[in-house]
Amino acid sequence: MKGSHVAITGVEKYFGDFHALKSVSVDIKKGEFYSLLGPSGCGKTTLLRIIAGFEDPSSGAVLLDGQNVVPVPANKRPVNTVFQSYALFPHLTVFENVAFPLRLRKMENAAVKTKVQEFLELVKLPKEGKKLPAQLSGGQRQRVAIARALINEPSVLLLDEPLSALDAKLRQHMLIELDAIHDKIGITFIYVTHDQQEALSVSDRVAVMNEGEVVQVGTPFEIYESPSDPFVAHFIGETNYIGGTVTEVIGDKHAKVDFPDIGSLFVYQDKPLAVGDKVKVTIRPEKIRISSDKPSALGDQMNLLEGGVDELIYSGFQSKFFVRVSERATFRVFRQHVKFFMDEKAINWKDRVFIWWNDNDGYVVEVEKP
Amino acid sequence: MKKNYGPVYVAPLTGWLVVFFAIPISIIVYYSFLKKGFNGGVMHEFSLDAFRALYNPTIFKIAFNTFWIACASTAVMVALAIPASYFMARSRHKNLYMLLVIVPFWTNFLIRVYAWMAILGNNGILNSTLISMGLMHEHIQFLYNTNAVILVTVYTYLPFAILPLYSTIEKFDFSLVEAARDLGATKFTATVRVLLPNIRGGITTAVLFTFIPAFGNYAVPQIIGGSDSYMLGNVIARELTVTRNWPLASSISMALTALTTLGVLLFMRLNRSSMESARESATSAPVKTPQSGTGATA
Amino acid sequence: MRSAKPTGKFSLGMFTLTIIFLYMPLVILVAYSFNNSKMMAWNGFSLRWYNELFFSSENLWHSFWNSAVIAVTSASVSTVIGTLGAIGLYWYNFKFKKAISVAAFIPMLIPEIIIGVSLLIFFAGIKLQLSLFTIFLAHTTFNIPFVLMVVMARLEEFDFTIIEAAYDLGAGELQALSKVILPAAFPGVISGFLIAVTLSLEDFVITFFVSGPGSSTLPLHIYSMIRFGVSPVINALSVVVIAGTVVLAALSRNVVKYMFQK
Repeated sequence: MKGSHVAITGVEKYFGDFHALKSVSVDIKKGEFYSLLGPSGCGKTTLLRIIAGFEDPSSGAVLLDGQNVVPVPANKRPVNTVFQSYALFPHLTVFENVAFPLRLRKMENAAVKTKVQEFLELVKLPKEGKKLPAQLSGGQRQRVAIARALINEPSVLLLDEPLSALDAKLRQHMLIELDAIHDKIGITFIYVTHDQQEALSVSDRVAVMNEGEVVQVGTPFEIYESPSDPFVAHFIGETNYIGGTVTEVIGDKHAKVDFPDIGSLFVYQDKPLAVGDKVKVTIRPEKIRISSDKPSALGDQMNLLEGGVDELIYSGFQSKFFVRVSERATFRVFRQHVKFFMDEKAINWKDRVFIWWNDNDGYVVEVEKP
Repeated sequence: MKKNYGPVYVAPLTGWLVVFFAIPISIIVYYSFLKKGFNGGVMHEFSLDAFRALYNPTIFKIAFNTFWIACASTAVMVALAIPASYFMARSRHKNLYMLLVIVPFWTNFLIRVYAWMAILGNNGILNSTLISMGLMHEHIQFLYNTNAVILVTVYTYLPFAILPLYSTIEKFDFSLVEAARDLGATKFTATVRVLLPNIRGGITTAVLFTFIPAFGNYAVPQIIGGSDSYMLGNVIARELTVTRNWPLASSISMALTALTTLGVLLFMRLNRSSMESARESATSAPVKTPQSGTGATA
Repeated sequence: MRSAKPTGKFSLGMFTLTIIFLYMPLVILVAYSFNNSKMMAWNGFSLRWYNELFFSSENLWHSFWNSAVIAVTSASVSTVIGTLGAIGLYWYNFKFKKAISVAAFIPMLIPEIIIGVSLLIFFAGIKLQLSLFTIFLAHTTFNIPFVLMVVMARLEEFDFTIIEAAYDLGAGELQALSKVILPAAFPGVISGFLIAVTLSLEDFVITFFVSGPGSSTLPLHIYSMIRFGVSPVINALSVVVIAGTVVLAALSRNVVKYMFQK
């Protein structure tokens, strides 16, 4: 395809009987921060290793600037990898680790010094060159791995779950720095992760993978707000996922759907619908409002339900409610604690509550024609 | 207050090793400074004769032979064992392969030596095969020379090299090799610059485990060797049981032990200094070396 | 991670070579044990050497019996001494502990022949007749460091917190020792014993020096067979030894598995 920097076309991979990648096709633009997101075993790391050249695809092609690189061995590809375990050479100092690719090219000593120093500064480790990897903290090792992978000035940087070995705070921090490095050097990043927060926060685009297939490609916003598939809806964030039958089509954007055990609700739809279609709808918990008082003056197509609080999880900045609206249906609802504590009327376990949300916030994921 | 039973537990161990190891070794040292008795044994009279007798070209030549046979067989064993253990450690059937390597090793030592006599001997299989194929017309003696001793030494001690190398390579993080390849190294450079430095501990152990028994070899040259492959061990035995010059047997024993120790120390020193020069720019601050594990034992 | 990385052709080649090198001589021995001829030329299938081995080699079986007795007794004694020593060195702190734990391994590093020679001179010095008993003493001596090493390795392997847990749960010192440490060390004790038996059955060099008239062991007997006229009986014996080795290996693996994985 034209304009793409890395193009994966119809890649299949078998390990014995195991079908690890099922006709995967992906286009990545030049300079993009592109994430491969999925649960472990979904094939994302295998795909990355195929791009790096550590595995050969069973069939299909990997195009780099339009050139098929499948026959090119790993050491000849303009692609470098930041490994999950960092893979720093324990017998070499930080400096020599970063200098390794330059030494292979027999670069002159003075030039090596300048260049390695430049990259150590890029990852904010200008003074750690003489240490051995074993003397560094996890975050520092991570930085060395990044500097080492960048020093060859690859056109694509592959990152294989680079933050998974760090603790939560440090992960946040490194994520911001990765983003800054990406902005600074402007090459293509392909980032493999199972953590949706990581993927959503830094990526230009995300490919969600499951069981060897790419199920959806889109911006973080698209992936979150309009999942194309129940897997994506469930995997990204938390949601209320319910099924019902269309009873009325309202204009070309909305519909009225009857849900057993819940009742009739207004939903948003961007697919052709007809009365009688069976649909699956996702409603994000943070879109739902909750109150113990009945709200007054709701708009025409607002959805309003009444129920009891089954379960309540307090977590500081927000609370999570499980609201039972009938014997067989509960909704999860998030409430941000944005107001002063005293101003907010507390909702307790077993309270009767009202929950309501906008018609645009119920999104039709699947349609099944009768 | 905890009662300390430690010395009680260790007493039998210490006692046994003092009586049956330390004292006998001290006696050797003592005897080497005595005069030889007329009918074997010693006369309790100080003398340096036994050490003077060492200073003689025959002993030098034998010492050189011993050193050469030990070095050559160690080199062959390690050269075979590195790729073989690499393959085993990378395979899915590691345990099976390990068993395959160990089983011949459990077969009695002398039977393993004898097997080679059956192959290489004057009437052995190699001779009869070559003659029946018409490649040769007369029997050739393949046994009783230095090469035969090296071959059989390699055969009998090879697993000593494979075991420590295997357990080190198995612990090696192969993503390091992938990283080197990713950064532009060929398979060969990745092996030399990343794999070998990181399995150093295993290589050292393999060298020590093979060099020590090869250097003190007695049985193999006794059975398979000829006059040109006489080793120090054989001289000791001869002086002890045939010539019955016990002081000389003792002084050669001391020399053998000293040379082994020297060889081992020299090798470990070389190993360490090249390790240090490898990290030219290592810190001046105290470095905790993350030594790759020295491997298993036999 | 699933990986079907093919390993290099070179290392595969070297491994294959190694296996062929290790097995070829043994295979040849097995084949020729069924040869009817006394020479290496093939002269038809026969069991005559087995016949001779089992029914007219009394000396050989006598040596085998000697070997077995020495192996079991020296392995037992060295296992007791080595295990006690390992517990003492691992569990307590006392003067010279460090020195003892280093010095105890020196016998492993000294060439066998030196041990043999020094023991021979020692036994002569204390006027102890060379016999099965001196062989037993020598074997116990070289077995002790191996048992010590295996049991220590096992003790160092297990999680020290289980001892603290034992204390926490109210165990006294001797209880912790008998109820926690010994059971934890047990696999090491067993493998130490097995290694000692193997080493003892196998030893030729040291035994050669400390054996006296009438105290032949199996390796000594094989040696004399090799030295003084090779008879194909030795081929048959080799096959029995190889088969015995394989069976024992399989058995001990299963026994160990059964004992520790139930």
